[in-house]
Amino acid sequence: MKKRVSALFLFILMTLTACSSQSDEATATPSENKDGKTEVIFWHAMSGDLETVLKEIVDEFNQSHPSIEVKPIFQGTYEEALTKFNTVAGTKDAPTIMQTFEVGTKYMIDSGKIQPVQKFIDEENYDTSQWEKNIVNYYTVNGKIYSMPFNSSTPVLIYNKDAFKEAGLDPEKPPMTYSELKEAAKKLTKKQGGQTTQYGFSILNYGWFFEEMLAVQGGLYVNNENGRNGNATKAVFNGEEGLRVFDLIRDMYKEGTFYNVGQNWDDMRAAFQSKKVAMYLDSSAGVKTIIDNAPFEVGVSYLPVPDGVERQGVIIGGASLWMAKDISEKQQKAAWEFMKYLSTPEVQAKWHVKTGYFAINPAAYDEEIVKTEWEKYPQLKVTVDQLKQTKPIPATQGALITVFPESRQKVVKAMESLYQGADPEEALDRATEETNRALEMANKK
Amino acid sequence: MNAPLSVKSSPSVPVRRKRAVWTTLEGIVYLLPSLILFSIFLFYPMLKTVYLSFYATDHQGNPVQFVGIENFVYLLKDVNFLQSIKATLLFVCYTVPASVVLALCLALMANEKLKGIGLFRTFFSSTMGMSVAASSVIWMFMYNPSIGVINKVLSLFGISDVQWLLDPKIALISVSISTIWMNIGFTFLILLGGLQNIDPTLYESARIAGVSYWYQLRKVTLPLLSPTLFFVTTVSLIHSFQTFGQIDILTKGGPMDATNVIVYSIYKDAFINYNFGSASAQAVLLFFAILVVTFLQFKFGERKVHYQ
Amino acid sequence: MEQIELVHVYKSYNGKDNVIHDLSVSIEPGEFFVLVGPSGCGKSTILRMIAGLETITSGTLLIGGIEVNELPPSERNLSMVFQNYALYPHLTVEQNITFGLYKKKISKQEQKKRCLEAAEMLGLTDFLKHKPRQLSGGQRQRVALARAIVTHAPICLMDEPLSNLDAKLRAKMRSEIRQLQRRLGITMIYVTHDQVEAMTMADRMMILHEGRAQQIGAPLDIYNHPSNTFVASFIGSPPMNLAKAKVLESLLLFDNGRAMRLHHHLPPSTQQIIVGVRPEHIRLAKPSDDHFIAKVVNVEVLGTETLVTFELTKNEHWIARWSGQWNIHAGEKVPLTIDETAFLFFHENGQRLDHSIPSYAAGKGEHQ
Repeated sequence: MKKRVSALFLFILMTLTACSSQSDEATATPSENKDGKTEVIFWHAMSGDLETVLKEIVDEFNQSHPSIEVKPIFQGTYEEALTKFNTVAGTKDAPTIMQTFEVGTKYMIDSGKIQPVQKFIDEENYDTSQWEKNIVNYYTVNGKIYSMPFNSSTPVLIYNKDAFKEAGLDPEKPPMTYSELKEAAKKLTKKQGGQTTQYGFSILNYGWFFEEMLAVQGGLYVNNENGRNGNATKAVFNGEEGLRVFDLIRDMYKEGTFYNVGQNWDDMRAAFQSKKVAMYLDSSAGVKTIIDNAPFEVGVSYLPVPDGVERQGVIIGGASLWMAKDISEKQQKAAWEFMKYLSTPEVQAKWHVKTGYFAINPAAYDEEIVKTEWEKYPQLKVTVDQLKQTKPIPATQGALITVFPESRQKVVKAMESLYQGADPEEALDRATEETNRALEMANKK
Repeated sequence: MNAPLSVKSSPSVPVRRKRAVWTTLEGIVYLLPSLILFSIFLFYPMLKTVYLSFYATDHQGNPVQFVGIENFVYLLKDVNFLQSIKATLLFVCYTVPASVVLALCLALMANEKLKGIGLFRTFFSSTMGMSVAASSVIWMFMYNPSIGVINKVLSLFGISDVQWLLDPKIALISVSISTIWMNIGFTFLILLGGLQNIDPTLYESARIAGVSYWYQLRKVTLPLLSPTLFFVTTVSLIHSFQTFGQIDILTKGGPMDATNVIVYSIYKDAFINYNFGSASAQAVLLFFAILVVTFLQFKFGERKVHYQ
Repeated sequence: MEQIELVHVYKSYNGKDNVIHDLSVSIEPGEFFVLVGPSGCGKSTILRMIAGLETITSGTLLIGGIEVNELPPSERNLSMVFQNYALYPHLTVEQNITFGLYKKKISKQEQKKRCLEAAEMLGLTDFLKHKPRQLSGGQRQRVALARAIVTHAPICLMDEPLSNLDAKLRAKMRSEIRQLQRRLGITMIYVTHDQVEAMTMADRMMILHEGRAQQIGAPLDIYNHPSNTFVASFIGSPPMNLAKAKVLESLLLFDNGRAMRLHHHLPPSTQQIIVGVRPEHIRLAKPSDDHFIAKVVNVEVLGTETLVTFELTKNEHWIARWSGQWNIHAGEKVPLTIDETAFLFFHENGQRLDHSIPSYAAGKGEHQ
């Protein structure tokens, strides 16, 4: 009996230790793999066509840098990837490089688990002036560059040129102001019986578009110069600029020229491609795919502004690459090498023409492939021009807060309430208040 | 005379005690694997959740400040949380009775002895083989207002576009419909199993007595099926309270929080907004809500159950 | 009270193989009719066809002279008791007994009255509020009977109602059911695999084998004049002794050279036949009798009687049944004799040879 029991104990102990030793092996990320290469784990959120292109670029890097091996791992959407990063940050499982969307900037800085790339910039005297100035603007916090910009996009107005012709509009003169937008939308809206078969305009229920439409008017999202002049404590997006955006949506929805596409990017693009809507706002990163897939001619234009308001430009969307802190010097060096590679004009040129994200390094636009591609897809150039004309003010620098995801949920809810006949001012005020509470909670931490 | 007796009796007490200790130990050893698993995957997370619900946390979920019951107080005053409770209760009311009743109807039909009934039994239970994610994606395409098949069919009848997932008044119902569809397979299969367990001579006896179908259903089938019905209702109820997948895929809690059921709200709070304290507090409240509902169901529902 | 008639009835489940072949029988009003046979012989199927629980593949079923093939069970005006009693576990004894009476448009008072009557008759009065699971097997059986009684249907069908009871209770219920049937004067069709039940309860019975009726008649007629070897061996316990033999003039020649001389009753044949003798007709020979010597193989002393198994031939053992207790041991050789009139002769194919008529009277006389 005794023997049996102790044997059992032994067995359990052995299984447990076997399990734990196994998991040890699995979690350990050796800085060098079997071939003596330095391994760089790269977490990203690029799916579909974007992932294919990214993998190509990584393969090319691995071939040209025999001592380094970059392993790209897809981790879902930006939000999902960030959630996963959050659980492993500071442990051995943490990736060497982490791609995080622009609104996660403040969050990453505050996490304390990342190594600012400024260190390497200083060490090597890396020239950041070659970058697009707006991009430098966005990622410079407290005079430091924390992360390496990688994929940047801006919002654009995408429209169906064939529908424009059909409605008697000039396909080469897209609407630039709110009143032109309303006018065009009215003409583009087609009804059959009691049903609307084609709507004029649509905006995805996503906080980013609201932020951009605010910034293009020079409106701030939060106080303290969008949180760049000290911690933001109050949301201010319910000013006149924000109200104009909400009024626009409300008015157009009431007139029946605005279509509610929900929160899903794919649904929105499906609605455009199936000619359910004639104009909508999209990210420049989606431009290439839309042009390729739409069964009609696609036009791309600037974000419209309210009448009589000077255009200030757009905030850089997209994402940047962050380096983990608690890893070996060697790995950091390898990661830095990869980051630099990504910013070279050649890679950026390829990235630009294959995706529609624009180059963080303007020298890329002089590359031959960009020139030929722009001839084929003149629409791509629009995104670049819009960014170039952007004025470097706090509004277009973008807000710096940790609670962006939460705040966006509140803004989305406010947008959705417009379709239910809510008062734009009340809806906006409520979203502001809820963001304030989130800010207050976050500042307590 | 005495010597052998005392030798025999004196060690017997410690020996017996020793054996008792060993028996207990042996029992524990047998339980150990499940105890370890339960502790790691159930008890520890549960206690940790309760613990966290009394704290404000940082972004990694580490408690930084004890706040007592503030998380709970804030939740109970928060209109968004009250909306979540409302959405959850509505969702439960929409899905549970409908899936059980529908599955019961299908099971009653499929229990008839007809040619080719096996085919229908397979059809009716087939949704059980579909993952929540796969079925949600299918429903998402069907609900799509621009390219979805439902609106295409409706337009044939001259009904104008319905924003299935975008209209706050309809979204929860749309999600419920797809949930009912997903649940029916499992519920159907269990109920059919229950029906087939009923002694056929009871029906033959009823046939000879000549009672009507409805009388037989009311007086024979339902009472004898009651243990199974009770089981599926309880399971569906708990399941319904914990719905997450279809909400995440179809609506992400929107529009206007109309489908932001508590579990989804917990997920958003913890993993998007990094408010682990508040999320834990919601989880604790949900736990007690399910506990109470299940308790009430056992207390009142079980009275009508006839175990054989 | 109505007559039940089956005319050339066939039953097939798959359309190819018949489980019931060409069955014709007429059951008289007030009769206790037993369907008996080994399991799988189709007796329950016949009962269920009469009840209307199974369709009739071809042929006609008449109740009271009216064809009822297509009539649903409830309109055939009969009651049925199932082997497992088919009691509703969630209803009380009273509710079980009156279940279905509402359909017959019987008033609540009348229902109550009938229920009490039936309960009284079967000694269930104290249990009316109990649930079936609180009752013993015998009590449940009675509840099932009571449920059949309260319908006042003139025909009652019973499907092996006693097979779940222990031997003692079974004997008691046998006589109770028989008495009840007489008292109520109903027509009873009773299915069993137990030949003792059939013998003791039936007015008439039908022996079934592989879906075919083997013989229909009063129990003693069948016992004494089995129409074939199947019936001969199925009815009676221990069964009739059978052995192959050849007839050569006045000699019966068995295998291994045993021969018996008969003086009168030999069938007019020299072919191979089958000889049958009931165990009670094999006696210990007196010195004056014609006898044969056989070796005893086994002896079972049952108190009132003794069963002696002996070697007829090397491979064939017969059993003799003697009343009283006998002090005989295995291995002994004993002289035995068989009344000439007790022999039954069957054709090789099992059918009884016509010759048997004279032995009828003799057999009957012996038993009375």
